[in-house]
Amino acid sequence: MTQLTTAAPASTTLDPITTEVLWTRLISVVDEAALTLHRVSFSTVVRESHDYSCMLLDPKGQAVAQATRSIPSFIGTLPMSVRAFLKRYPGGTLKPGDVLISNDPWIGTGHLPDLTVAAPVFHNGVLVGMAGVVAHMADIGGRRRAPDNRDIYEEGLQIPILKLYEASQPNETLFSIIRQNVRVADEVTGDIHAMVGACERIQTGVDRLLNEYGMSDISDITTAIVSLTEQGMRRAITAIPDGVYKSVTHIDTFDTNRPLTIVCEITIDGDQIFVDFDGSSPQNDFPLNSVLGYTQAYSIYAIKCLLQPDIANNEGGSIPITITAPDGSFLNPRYPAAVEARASVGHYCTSAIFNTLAKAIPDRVPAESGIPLHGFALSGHQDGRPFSTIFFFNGGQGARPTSDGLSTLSFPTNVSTTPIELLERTLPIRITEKSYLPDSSGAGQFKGGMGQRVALEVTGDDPVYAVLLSQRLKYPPLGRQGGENGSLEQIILNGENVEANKPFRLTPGDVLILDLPGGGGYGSPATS
Amino acid sequence: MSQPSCRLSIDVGGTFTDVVLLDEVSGEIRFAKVSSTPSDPSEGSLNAAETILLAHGAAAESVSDLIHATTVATNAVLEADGACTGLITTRGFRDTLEMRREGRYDIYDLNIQAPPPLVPRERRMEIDERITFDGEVLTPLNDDQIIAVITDLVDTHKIDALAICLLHGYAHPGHEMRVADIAARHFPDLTVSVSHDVAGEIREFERVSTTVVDAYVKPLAQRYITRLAGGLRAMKMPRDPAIMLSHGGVGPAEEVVQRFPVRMIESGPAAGAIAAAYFARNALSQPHAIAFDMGGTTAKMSVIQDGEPTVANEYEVGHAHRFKPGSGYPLQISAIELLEIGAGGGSIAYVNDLGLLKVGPRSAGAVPGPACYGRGGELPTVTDADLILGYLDAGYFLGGDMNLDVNLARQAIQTHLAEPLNMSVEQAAHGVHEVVNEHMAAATRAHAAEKGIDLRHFAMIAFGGAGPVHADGLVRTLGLSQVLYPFGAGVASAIGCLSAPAAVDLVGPYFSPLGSVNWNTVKDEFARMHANGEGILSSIAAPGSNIMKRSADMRCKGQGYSVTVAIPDDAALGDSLVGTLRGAFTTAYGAVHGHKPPDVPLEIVALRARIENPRPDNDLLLKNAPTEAGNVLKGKRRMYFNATEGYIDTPVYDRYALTNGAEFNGPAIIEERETSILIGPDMRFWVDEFANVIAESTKGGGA
Repeated sequence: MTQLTTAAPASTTLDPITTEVLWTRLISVVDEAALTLHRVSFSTVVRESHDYSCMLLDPKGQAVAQATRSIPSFIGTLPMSVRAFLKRYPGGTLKPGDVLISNDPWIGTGHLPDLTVAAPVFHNGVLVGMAGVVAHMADIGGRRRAPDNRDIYEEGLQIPILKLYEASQPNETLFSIIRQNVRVADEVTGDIHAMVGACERIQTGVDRLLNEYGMSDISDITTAIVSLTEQGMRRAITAIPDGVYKSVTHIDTFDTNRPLTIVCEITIDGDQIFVDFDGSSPQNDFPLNSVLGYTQAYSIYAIKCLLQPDIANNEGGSIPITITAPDGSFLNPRYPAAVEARASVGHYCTSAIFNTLAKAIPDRVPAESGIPLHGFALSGHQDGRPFSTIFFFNGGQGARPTSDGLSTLSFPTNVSTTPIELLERTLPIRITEKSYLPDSSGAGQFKGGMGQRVALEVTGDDPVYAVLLSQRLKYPPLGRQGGENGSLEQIILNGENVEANKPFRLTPGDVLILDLPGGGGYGSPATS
Repeated sequence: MSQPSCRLSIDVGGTFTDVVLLDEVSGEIRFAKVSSTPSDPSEGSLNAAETILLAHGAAAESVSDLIHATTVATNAVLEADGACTGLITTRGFRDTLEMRREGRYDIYDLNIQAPPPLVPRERRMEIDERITFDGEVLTPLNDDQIIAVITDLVDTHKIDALAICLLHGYAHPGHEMRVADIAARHFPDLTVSVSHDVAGEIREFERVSTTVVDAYVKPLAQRYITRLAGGLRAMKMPRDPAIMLSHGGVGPAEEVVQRFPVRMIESGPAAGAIAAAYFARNALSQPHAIAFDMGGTTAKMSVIQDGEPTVANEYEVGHAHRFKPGSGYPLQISAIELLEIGAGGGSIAYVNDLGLLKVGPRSAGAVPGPACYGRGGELPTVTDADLILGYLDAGYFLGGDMNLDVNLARQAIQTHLAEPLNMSVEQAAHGVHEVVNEHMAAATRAHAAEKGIDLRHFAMIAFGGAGPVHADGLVRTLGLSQVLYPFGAGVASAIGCLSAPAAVDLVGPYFSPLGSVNWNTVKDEFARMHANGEGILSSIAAPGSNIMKRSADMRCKGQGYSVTVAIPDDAALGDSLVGTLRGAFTTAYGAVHGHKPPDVPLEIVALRARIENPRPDNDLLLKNAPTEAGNVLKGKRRMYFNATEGYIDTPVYDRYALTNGAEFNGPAIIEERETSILIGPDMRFWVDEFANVIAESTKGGGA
């Protein structure tokens, strides 16, 4: 459920030119912060995968401007976190130099490695907004991505909403606790410092802008941005035929005998969309649970891609969209469910939305991609020191209504691969193959993008523990409008197909192969 | 034979080829323009050289050197007109080129396209071989297999060019060299590009991308340079031609196209940035500037710091989506950083779905062009807005060669902007001017943030057809205090060629914690690069006359991004350098990131050397202040600067009549043939001894 209720669109006091100029400037401010975070960050995930976001919010926690390169997980989740922060520490109690922090999955992006940091933005001593930054840490303790995590307690350090800095004084107790609980303390604290630096960039940028324009706060521009975006989204929804559309999407899990099901019912009613996941599977004892905020983020993302791709993300686009999932389902699990691998299921919300809206606007919705995110989470010892890291590879994109899908493309998130030459230089592994699987594409008038094969060996003397974030062993990416399905994923250990329901202990000589699915095709192959 | 006494530079553009002749004795420079000859650009270049020599009675024998900039390599990529290229990779990695990094350059656009791979899959061949990152040969080469693979590429696929890129070849090039050697021996007609020679840096996708672009442009670049050099020799030009490289130095053209023609990418714009740097050093009180070149479809920015353009060790060319980073072919080359923005005089303004005014990146181009050109364009552009606001003279566009129709401009803005926005034509036109300026400012600000630059200490140097019209607004938004409008801006790239040193940039692999550097290895690596660089430059710079600027790429252990740190010229390579490097790293890191690096061990991840033949600036004292007699003040025109005042009578000055020391207050327009300089209210301007116009805020300092 989108929590925010906004008054009827206020008529903005700013003219369309000033609005455009100030909006451009605010995005420029958060982009500057994001560029700083990107360049200075330590963890491979943040650096190579852009798994972070920076945002300017108003004093109530409404998203005003989001960094251009953010991945979809943060649509709506960062504002949700900041609103929770403000409930714990009301705006009136915050001081310059305060920095708030938490990784509570239920108020944020749905798993513990994503740390959220936020800081008040003051102008002439008055609170005018909040700077929010979220980034994926290289480690957060616990059993990492173990597919047999049973609850959140196994998944690592939980940081409730706390002050990381109070009036610029670091909370040394909290820093010590974090350092003690993660495997790579320098990387994690380095990234936290980078996030705080990004908040400071946003604070400075906003202050400078308000000075230049002689404005006392950002309320007028916020109203303009949010209400115009909301109205635009409402017009786009109105263009979809009214009705109730329904689809069922199957997800195979770490245990292919226990698939999960997403039931998605979408009601288009004038200028509003209601998405209801009622009937979807109950929460499970694996970390395959997506908190509601994450479910909503990927659902809104799919809708935005189809209806409003050109408008910079802010609160307004979400207001006409209501998303509900039954309490206790895997798309809205109760604490203390295990949630670490929420991407493996939450990304399918995009598929579910596409599969449903394809019934309303079939000529605008692409075929399914080889989602979700595939990759290796590795840990072990190297030169006597513990290491833990995660890197990703991608399947093929679903064919589009007017063109073939692209091969090996990250979707719906946006995670780039780490160069093999860097991986081999830093980890006790060797990649012996990374190439296209030409037969993996779904045929169609337009073909799906190709998936890929990645083969990995261990090079050191010590065993390496590998957790595979895998999916689609049973349910392939669907074709659309008569297009054929993409291929299934396969995991091959020393020549034998296996499932990924537990971590692999790899020793020298083992060869682990991951074959990733291609995208579905679009339109009948006969018409190509 | 007369003593060599003049220097010649040629900049080959899409439409015109600019040529500049510098008399080294008097310091005078002469300009000329001839039509370009895209089918064989060497024809236009030779024609340009002949034209200017003839016009000024100079003998070819008197030309001490000829430097030139060309789009031949860039165009081959942009127009998909390069060689039929084959690629050899390590077994298991032939698709690296096409897989790219698997990220999306726009997350909301479901219809993004990737640039097509320059080598399709059927021409990407794998061979059995593997060297580890630390140099151990796991799988040795099989010569017969290599011969068979190349034979297949040549016989079946008819390739003209071959790219070779093997895993970890940047550090251990043995296998790559062997494959190249076999190719050269068995297939002497093939041009060959090898990754460690062309790029030489870690990251297999970026390196193979660079190597393939190199191979793709090589036959064309070689043909062009061979013809040009032959033609110049036939004219009895005593020296071999030199070419502007992406990094802003010049190299011997024939050697460059033999070794790494990819380094000629964006040679023209690089020359423009070098010209801006020259103007910054010679005409500004402090040599920090944003060079701003705004033309018909794009604006290009480069940063001049301490009188030099910033150079990065990466570049991207051939974008599938023209202004989206990440949508092109990445290149591991040292290149002047050029920020390209989809904003020019022809950029189309429109009202978006939300009812906001947007400008670009779609451009009306030259045909149909802005509405005011009267060539059938109906959509409002930046030029139309500038005309309505009075910044352009309908009767003196391109020196009067073209008439602009203000009524057509008003009609376009009325229909497409003013009506839907419910405002006056003037307000809408002023909005277009403001929005395009803010758009360019946002891009500039992001670029500055990446570089850790405080823009308030920077001036702007404006050129291009639309640059001087928009610089005034841009400096206000960015908070800069001074703008320089150089004389001779119309041939800036050709001027840049003359002021650039002969230089080559090389990179050497070296990985080590800073605490345990093997300095003998480092010494050997620099000595190797020095010898290599002197060899490359030998035809245009005498060996022994070059200096070497050394630097090291350093990073905090664990960080992926490195910072290039200069090694002082007089520093001995040894443990005494560790403290210096640590200090320099802290400074450079702080400049980029705004705070000190974390307290973790440092690593060296690469060594870099620039071998350079320095050219003192006083070689190039441009004396170019010939003024046309006549009235400084051409008249007055109504111009619109803000809604409060509306149109106000504003003086129009003649650039060619302004002389050293002239000084006036804004608002004003200074007209020249190719552009108009807009001087806003609260600005004053004066003319310096080199005929440059300099404008400054009367309010003192930046915003």
